[in-house]
Amino acid sequence: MSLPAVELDLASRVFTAGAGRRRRPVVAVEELSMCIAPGEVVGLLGPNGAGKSTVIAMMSGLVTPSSGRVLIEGYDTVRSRRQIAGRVGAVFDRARTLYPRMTARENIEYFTALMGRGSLRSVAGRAAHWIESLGICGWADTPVNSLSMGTRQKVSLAAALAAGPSVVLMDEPTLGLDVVSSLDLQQLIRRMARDRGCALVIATHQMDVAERVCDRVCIMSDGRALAIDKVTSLLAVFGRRSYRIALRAPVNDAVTTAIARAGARASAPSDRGAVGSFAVDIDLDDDAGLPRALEAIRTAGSEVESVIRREPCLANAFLEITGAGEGRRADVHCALA
Amino acid sequence: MYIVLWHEVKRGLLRRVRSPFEFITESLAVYIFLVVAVFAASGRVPMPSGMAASASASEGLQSRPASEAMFAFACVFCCLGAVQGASLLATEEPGSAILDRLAMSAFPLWMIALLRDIASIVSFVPSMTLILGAVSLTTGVRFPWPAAAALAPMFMMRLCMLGIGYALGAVALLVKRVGGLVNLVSMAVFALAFVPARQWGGAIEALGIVFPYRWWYGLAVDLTFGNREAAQLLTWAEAGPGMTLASIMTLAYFFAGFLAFGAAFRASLRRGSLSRA
Repeated sequence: MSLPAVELDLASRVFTAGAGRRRRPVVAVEELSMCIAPGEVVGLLGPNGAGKSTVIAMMSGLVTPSSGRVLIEGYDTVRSRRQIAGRVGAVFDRARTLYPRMTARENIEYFTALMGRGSLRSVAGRAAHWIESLGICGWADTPVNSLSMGTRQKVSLAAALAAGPSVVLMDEPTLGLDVVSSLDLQQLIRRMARDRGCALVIATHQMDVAERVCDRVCIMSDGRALAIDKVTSLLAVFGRRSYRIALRAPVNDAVTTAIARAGARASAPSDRGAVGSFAVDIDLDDDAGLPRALEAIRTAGSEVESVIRREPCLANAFLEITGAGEGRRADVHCALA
Repeated sequence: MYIVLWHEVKRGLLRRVRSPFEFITESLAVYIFLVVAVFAASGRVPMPSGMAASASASEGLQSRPASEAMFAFACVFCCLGAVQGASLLATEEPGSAILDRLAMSAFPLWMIALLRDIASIVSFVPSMTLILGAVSLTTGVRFPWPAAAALAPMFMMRLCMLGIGYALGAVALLVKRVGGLVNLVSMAVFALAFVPARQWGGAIEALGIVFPYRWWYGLAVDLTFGNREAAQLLTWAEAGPGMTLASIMTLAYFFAGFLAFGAAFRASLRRGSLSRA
């Protein structure tokens, strides 16, 4: 049986906040255990301050766990720093891990050389390979401070990948990217996992990115892992059967009462400003509840114009798990079927 | 390791090429400083009022050949890179995560600092040669190139200052904002150049004790300017005990700074202050 690419064994991290008498411990990560297999893409999801970046920092050996341990291919990130180097590549947020006045190629070559892999020629060869693979040939000899955010992010990724790491850590990789660059990067992440067998760990706030890219997600809050599971499993458990029903007349109390009696949960649409008062969102426990709800609406004297099924999304599951969902459905952007 | 060294040299040279304005202004500042120092040493310009207030400083500059003053300041500029290098490594590109990436490399941070120091010498020599040439043309004072034998004390001079640089780097790793402290130490090194090595006394003597620099600087001056004492210094009976002590102090400075840097790095990992997490 092969070693996990990353293993967290009850890893905790406590920081100290404040000074003097006001010093107090702040638990950033609490007894997190997780194994990540080679070729797997794992997303770390959570609100601000959940501990995602600290987990990334512990995996990259930049923060020592207060207790527990973090292993990369069996090597302890604290005791075996030299063995870890080159096995882990990191892309930190907004690609600020590059020298702005050096070109893309020079940055990639420099950081590859720092990983202690190969000769001068092989370093240049690796850099050229990744420049071509990531489609940044046109910008290879442009100083980084003249590049767009998306290209910079790709350069940063190339600099991380050129040393041939088996684990790639990414902190908010798609933050600040336009749609095309973000989708490019997401495809690249999937390709890295599939073709190269890299284990990728992505800390992100963007549920749609995590849903598209990750095999598994770890949902964190206040330093604790609330759920670690496959995206599909979370969607199956937490994805409600949701519908948006548009009526020919405004939704009134009689309609919502009738829907509730039919065993469904009714709520005002999150984008009420756009759809007006003629639509209602309903959540059902099973699909069989839909005819009952429609019949109840008709009985209440309203006429149904259309029914749209709303696909289950990770954002809903996230809100359910973190407990932030109460009364906040308005903030959730689900893909409409 | 030589690949990293090559890339460090390249990085240093590229920085100058890509930011010519910064390079020109830096060089111009050194040029003006050296021209004023040489003129002051040769008594061709009045000393600035602040400097004239310090009798030892003005006497110091004028009580030795102008070429020796030029040599003294060139040595100081040579050592400033060693003093500032490690702290610059710990604080470069504010707001970036470059230090994080360097800390994840196969080379320990102290080694990267050392390689950068070597790279800085490589790029320092040609640019300083040009500046000294320009100063010589302006002032008519020929720069005394150090004798081959003087390279050894100059190496020791830089080694002890590198120890101090590591110690400053250690503070920078833990505190981050150390610009003021680095400037303070740099100014202290400058103060040593205002007075001839053999005339150090009072506050300058105290500085000389703090920095093992002065022993090596004095020896480099003697060897370069062919003083009669230099020959005596090179005989073991005369100079042996002093040089042994100087060597011990230099190595102690270097290793103390180096150990402090390593300890600060580990402490910053424990505290979580290296990464921005």
